[in-house]
Amino acid sequence: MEGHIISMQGITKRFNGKTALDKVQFTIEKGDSVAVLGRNGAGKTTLLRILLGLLQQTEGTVLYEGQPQLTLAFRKKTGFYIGKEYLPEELSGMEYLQFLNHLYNGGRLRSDEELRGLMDYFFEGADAAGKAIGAYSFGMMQKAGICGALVNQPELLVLDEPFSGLDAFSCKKLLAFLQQYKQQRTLLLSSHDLSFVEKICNKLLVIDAGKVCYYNTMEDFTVNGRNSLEESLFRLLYPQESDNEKISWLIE
Amino acid sequence: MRFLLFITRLKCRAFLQNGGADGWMRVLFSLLMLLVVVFYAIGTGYLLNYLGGAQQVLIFGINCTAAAFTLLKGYFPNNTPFRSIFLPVHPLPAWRKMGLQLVYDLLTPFYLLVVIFYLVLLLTADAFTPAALLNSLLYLGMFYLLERILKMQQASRFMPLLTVCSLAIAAGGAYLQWRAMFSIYAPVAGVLLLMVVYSLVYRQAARTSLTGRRLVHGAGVQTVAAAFWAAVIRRKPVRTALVIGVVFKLIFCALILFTLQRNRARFDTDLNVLLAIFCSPLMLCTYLVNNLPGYMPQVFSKTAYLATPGALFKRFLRVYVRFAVPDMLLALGVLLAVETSFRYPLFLLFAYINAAILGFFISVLAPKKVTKGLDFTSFRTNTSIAGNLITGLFIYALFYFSRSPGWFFVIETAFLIIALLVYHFSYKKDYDHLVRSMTAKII
Repeated sequence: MEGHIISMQGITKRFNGKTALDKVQFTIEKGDSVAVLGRNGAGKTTLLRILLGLLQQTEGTVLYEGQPQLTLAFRKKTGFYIGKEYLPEELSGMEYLQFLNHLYNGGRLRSDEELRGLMDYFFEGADAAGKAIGAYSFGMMQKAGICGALVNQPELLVLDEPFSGLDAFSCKKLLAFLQQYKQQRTLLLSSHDLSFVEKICNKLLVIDAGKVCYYNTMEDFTVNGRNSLEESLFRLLYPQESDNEKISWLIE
Repeated sequence: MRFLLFITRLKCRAFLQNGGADGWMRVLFSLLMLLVVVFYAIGTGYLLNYLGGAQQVLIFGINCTAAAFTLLKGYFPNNTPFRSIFLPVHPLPAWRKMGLQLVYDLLTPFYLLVVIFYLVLLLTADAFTPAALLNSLLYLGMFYLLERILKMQQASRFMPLLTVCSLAIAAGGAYLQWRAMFSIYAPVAGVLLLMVVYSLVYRQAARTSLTGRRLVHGAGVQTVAAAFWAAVIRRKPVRTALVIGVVFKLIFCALILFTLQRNRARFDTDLNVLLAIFCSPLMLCTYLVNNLPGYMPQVFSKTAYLATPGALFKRFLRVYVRFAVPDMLLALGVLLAVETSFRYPLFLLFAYINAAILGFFISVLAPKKVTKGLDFTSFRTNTSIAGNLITGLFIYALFYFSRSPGWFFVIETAFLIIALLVYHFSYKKDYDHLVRSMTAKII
């Protein structure tokens, strides 16, 4: 158990009798940066929600540093962004960060200048601080959500598809940020953007139909870089031959 | 006229549902309903003839029932809201659009059955005079408009028009049966006035941010209550509490004082329901507190996620007190202006404490998301309906029993014991489960 920051043991989740996750088991070490990969609907977001304690698993346990994860300490040391539905549209970006700052430590955690600096880094001069989140574009909401996840300087950062909706410039900034962040903290992210995953993460967790297909290092998965991540993932998830015949049929 | 025919054809086609088996079942069912209504009206008519002095009470009861059905009807999911096709597309004056909507709404089996009921009653009951019929129809019309106002949250430019219509009807009704109906017309007129104030506050709050700059239209605050809660988060408690106090209390306080002046003799009998409702935190709780997480689900669930059960309750109380104190002081002022009795301050104190406890449990144990703009009394969510009923009945019971201190304290003690049990076994023990289900349900 030593060194494990997160340990998921036999996690099963059923929605109305349908199994979304089936006996998922893995551990994350301190300092790991893990990417959760899989097809749409494979159970990635469900897994992240269970890990964060936002969704009740049907079976299994989640441990944080060897203890059940549903403690205030875990919640205060974790930062997450798993979808824009968690953002209050009524508040402006800056108000949202101030609210989170107040929640985490009565406002003493970060000064307003620091919060503004955080916003400035991701929004790069765009006038977003005083604008209501409800009026943001999808990409801006992503950025506000990521800023919110960083307010408490979390030891464990959980991000669900952080790159989706971001422009190329913002992607580059987020990539640079996460690359530095992972040096000091633990990171768990789900993404479909394999080029970014390749640059950030050292471990991969591949889920298919609610089951863990692979959990190990990136080097192992790509056979020490001999295969690309995309190639290896396709080999694992789509072992059949190409879809050429099906595509021709669809076009015709 | 052509449009009227078009709508009638449209309605008939929808009613028959293309003549399928389901359509014919509907026709059969409607005929049966028609027969039931006619027989029921004949029966009521003959009953009215034999009632003697109590006729007015029965007529009043019938009107109230029709009004209740009208309001209830608005909250069935398949009830047609203000058709968007009538609102923005056609370049017609607002009055004509309202007229079209009226035709569209009134051509429904429900209203046809109600009108048939009244007509049969007119034929069979001597006491149900044409003036009484007119009054009943005005009453129905007022509640129809009220239901429409509640239903058509987004169309704010129609609100003043509808309010003027409703007030005119209220004035007409009050003129026809001043003494008997005033106690009902006055609060309904008050509700309508309140709607206008709400819409103004809402529009103002929705468009300004912390820095006082205008926000992009349509973004930002989704509900009136959310506007208030956003102001709380922005730490503008004094201004917000004053706005709340003014909105929730002053109009009704003025109404109560006026009504009491006119009906001093009935102060402790017929009017005590009104007094209990308006000189208590009921309006405040009904709108802002019951189903609190529903107004700003993201903020509330995040707060619950990062706080202990006790801390969450404390945070809730801190916010509640800010709103409740000005509200309570206004109520106390009005009550003491009417009658100096120790029982009212005592009732007020416990009513505000109890409403806070009830509001918290109702909102936390059964949260429901609110998404519409003007959700007056938040009738849209089951949580609020249940919460408002429980809070209302409890406050009224407390007011009623404030005359006999013994019973009052028995009820109060029982309530506090139950509240403690709920806190310990249902809330504190299951807190983590609660946070998860809250997140799952309201986000």
